[in-house]
Amino acid sequence: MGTTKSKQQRDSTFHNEFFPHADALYNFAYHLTYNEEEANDLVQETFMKAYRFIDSYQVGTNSKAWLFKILKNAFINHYRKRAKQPNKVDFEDIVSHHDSDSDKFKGSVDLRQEIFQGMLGDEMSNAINSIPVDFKTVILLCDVEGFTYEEISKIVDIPIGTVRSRLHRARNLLKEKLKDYAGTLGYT
Amino acid sequence: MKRVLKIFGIGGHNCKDVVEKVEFLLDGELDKETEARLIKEINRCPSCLEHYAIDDAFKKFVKTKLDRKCCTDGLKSEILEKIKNLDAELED
Repeated sequence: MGTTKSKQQRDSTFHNEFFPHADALYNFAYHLTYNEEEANDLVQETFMKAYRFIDSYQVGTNSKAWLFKILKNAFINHYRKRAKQPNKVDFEDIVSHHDSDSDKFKGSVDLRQEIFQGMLGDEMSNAINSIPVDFKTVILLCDVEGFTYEEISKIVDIPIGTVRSRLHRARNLLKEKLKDYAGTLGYT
Repeated sequence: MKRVLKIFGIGGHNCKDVVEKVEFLLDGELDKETEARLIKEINRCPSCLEHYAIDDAFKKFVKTKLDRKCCTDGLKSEILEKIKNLDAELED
């Protein structure tokens, strides 16, 4: 596939608007896959796709969100292939079940502030990696990368109301996991 | 664009209403006026204030404790090399 942009325009867009997000993309890919090799592949694929389809990117717009959407779609494609293997849990079914009453907020998990104090990064990583991938995705996009609900809605391709309810449930799930860890470590 | 959310009806303080909106406040998703009203409501109720403090700590905890991974120099070089090759392909 060709491109209408000159080599100079492509270089400029790539180096000024795409490549500075390499670390953030890698961090997102790593926490989605929890695997360095897969994260490497996803980031490479993202940049290759972004460059190949550089004409569809409007210079000066939200390049970070655009790249994250490409990475998220690449991840879904890989993930779907893996999910077709036997004995893999279909997390999408779990998430769509949780999203089904998207406007109703259930109460928050009771998690006392002191619980956080003794926790280490490893416990946090284990907890976040133990929740379904669609929940993990919204937490990474919102709390780690600081995207707005509107940006997350575009990256993940779900309505803003679903972003809100999914984030709420994702955080509650994560709190449950952390509470369990805290219990086993004797913090509670 | 931040969404304007109607969060208070006619009447007094309602902890459930306030608590439901704390996440939106911490995520910076409320307009200034709604934000100011919510903060006022939180400050007048110890239970809401405690809920706010926990959610605030939790959000900060997620951001700071999650190990931040970076692209290695090797991966960056590999990407740049692939882009160079793709560029040559696009020029043809």
